[in-house]
Amino acid sequence: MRVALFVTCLIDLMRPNAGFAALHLLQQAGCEVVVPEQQTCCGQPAYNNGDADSARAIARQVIEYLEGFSHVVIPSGSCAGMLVHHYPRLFEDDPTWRQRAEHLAGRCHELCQFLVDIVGVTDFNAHYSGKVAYHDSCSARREMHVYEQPRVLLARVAGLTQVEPGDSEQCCGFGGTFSIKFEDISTAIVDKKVENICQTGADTLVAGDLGCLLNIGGRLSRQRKSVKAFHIAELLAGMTEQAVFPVDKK
Amino acid sequence: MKSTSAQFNTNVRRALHDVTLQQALLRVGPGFVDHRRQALAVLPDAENLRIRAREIKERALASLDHYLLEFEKNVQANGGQVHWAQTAEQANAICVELCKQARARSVIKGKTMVGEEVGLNDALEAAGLETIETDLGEYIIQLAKEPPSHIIAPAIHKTRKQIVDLFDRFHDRSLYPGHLESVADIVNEARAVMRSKYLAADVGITGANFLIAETGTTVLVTNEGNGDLCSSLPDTHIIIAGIEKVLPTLNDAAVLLRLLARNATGQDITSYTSFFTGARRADDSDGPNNFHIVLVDNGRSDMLNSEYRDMLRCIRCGACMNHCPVYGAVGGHAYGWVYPGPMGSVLTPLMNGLAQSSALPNASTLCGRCEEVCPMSIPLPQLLRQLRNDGHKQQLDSWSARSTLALWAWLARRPKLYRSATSLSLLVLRLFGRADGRLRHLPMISGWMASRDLPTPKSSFMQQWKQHQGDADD
Amino acid sequence: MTDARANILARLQQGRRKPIPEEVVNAKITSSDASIEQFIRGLEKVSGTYETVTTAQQITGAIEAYLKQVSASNLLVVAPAITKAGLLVNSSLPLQPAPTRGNEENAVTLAYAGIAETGSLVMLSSADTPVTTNFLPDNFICVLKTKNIVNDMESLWARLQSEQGTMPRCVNIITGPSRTADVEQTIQMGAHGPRRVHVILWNELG
Repeated sequence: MRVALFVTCLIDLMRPNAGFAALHLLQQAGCEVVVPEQQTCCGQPAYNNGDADSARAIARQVIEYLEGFSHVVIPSGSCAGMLVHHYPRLFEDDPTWRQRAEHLAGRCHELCQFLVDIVGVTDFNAHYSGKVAYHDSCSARREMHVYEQPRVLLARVAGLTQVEPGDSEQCCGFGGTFSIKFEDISTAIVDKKVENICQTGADTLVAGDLGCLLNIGGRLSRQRKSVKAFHIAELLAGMTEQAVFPVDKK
Repeated sequence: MKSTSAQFNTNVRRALHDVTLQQALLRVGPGFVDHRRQALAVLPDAENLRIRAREIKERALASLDHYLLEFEKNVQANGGQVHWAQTAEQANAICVELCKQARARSVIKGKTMVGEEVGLNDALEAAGLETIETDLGEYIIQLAKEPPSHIIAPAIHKTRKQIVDLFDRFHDRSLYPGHLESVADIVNEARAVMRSKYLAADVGITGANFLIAETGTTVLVTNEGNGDLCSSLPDTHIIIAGIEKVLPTLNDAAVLLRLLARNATGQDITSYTSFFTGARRADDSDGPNNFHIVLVDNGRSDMLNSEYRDMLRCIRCGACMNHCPVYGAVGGHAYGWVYPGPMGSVLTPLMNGLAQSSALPNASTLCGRCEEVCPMSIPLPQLLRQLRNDGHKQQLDSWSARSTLALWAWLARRPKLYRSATSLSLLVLRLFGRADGRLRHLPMISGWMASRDLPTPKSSFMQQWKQHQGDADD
Repeated sequence: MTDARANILARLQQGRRKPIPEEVVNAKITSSDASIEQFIRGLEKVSGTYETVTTAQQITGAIEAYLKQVSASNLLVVAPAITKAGLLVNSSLPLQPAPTRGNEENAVTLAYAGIAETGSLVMLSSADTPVTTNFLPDNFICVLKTKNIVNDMESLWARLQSEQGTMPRCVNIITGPSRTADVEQTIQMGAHGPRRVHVILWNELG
């Protein structure tokens, strides 16, 4: 199976290790993985900040360079949601491009979804000793309906205990540029999230979206909480030498 | 009511530092969210009901003029009168005029969000009418001279202590010598104070949850029973309602009523669900002789003809705000007007103009929980995005935000330049970062850095990938 | 304001869409049945109380006993419908014909129907059942014939249509006592309307 890996701009810039982990998992699952060279960003910042024209221009490029692949895998619910749900919406008045966008949408998958639902591989012989809280990103959960898959995958990791933080349906307060424009609201929201995670006694935070991970992990780091943050791909691929943020030894 | 939506950021700072407000907001979760979840969990076929509810409202909106005319005809046939108001000013003028016709001195009001929207209390008081809100929450904020902070629980931001202070200040302690402590004390005193007002009032004004075209009936739900006293004791009953409230049939209302209370408070049905059809009949021994309905447009017909049409399905249950992380952090007053939360962030710009409320649609993480819980399946995040598009077109966003975004979008379409920009960004991160790999300050994104760290990666994925490919090729 | 009417209607006409056929949306969704048990479950869920009786004589006794239990006053406002139904005829209680003056503690009236789905009482406005009786007293006592319990609100409208043909001025669907949660989200009974709702379920068939 030949698949394209859409790395996402945040992983590219802030956490390359998660991209390589995703790549590794896909190869382990027996896929031939291609990393399209033209990829930059899916266009969400423009789309969510009212600049639909720029978002459309970016979307056209993405649609074009992802056209030849039978599957596109994205280690982010938010970027997957953009390609799957919002690209077709961007071309509501343009039947040709709308069709192309819909064709792409049908072939795009969030990473965990792809592994569990499409290739059906759930065990990657991973080992991780720790108490892990998985955070659902809003777009993964609500737009992509990813909920069971990451939990199924984590259940197969030896030595790992899963804990469910309270109020897990609630957003972490990231919201892309929202977290910069309305930093005090965003902080108030992420503080509740941090509190709920810490209450579980988890030593590790795992998420499928780097935005949430940087937000919650960044807040944990600022508060010097000893909770390690990883992208779920890193945990499954056993690439956990270094957490996203340094954690002080207790 | 004067809007302070333009000062959103100031409002937010005040809200975040308001200790009593923050305590009050903690009650939204157990009070509304948990109750709603429990109520819907045992409702058979809830999802199907939701689809049906949406269809009913769509059917009404598809022929709104037709159903309003049918409604009007049936109200008139039952001895009532229908008045039409295009604007808030017209709505207020009609109500004041009707009070004058009734030679009224005092008016009792049931909670009406349209009344809040048009600023009815101010207009009535300016006309010299003693105006008393009877919903306990509305009464409390009327004493405090504040707008509602929630559409279902207007005084949710007030603590018991604050309410006792208000009652001590405004209630005649020679008549009501009570020393108030418990919730029961407060409610009982309000009941006693209000009872005399009810019996003396000349006009009762209420809102309406639904208008029924086939019978000319208006539907009102309350838990306190205050709306029923407003509608049955005074000789004149005025109902003020938005034009989108009309439904074709009584059976349509039955379907929507199954959703309204469950989504609002988690009740199966409110204590009182009342259906008013016209004026007192010849052989009735009580009820108003004068029955008026004021239909308010105030921007709704514009919405019907725009991409915001879906918003007209809103039945004002408040579920969107109860589940909104932003509302949960800052409460209702920060939004600056009468409608808070996600529905308010759509309605306020549409009714007051986007220019003075452009922060509202932006102050959302677009997490989608509002759409998920909305009984009428209103695509609130999409409507918020649409308002952002409008704001961008009208250049309401800041110059710096626009130019940063434009530069980034330009780069995103040029992979090679984009890679150079990535390398430069990483250089900056490392320059400001600390030896332990933690970044604590960065002037360009001070908002983020105020409360969160960033990691300082050495190179990007694409750089490493290219290197890796190169090695593989050798 | 006729201009306003014409202007609004003109704009709404512009916003017309293809009419959605009625049958698409009118299918009924309900799972309850018209049983007394279902009605009682609903009533108790909202802190309503009830007593089941089979004869008119028992009703008098039930009301007298209830008032002794909850009220310092034994004055009872009585809706004409109760008297006309031959109820409370030989009661020893001081009775006062409705409508109330606004400060009496107790009142009794007759329900048009009950709704099983929610445990609700359905009250129609009329000279025999004045609306204010439902809202002004502290203790609201309501006689409901069990044969008048309908399944749901849709069944109520159907019955009203076939029996009366038109809507009365007011239909009050009452589900438990008056309540408020406006002070610190704490539920408190008796905000403006009755603090207690007591239903006399009259099963004439015994």
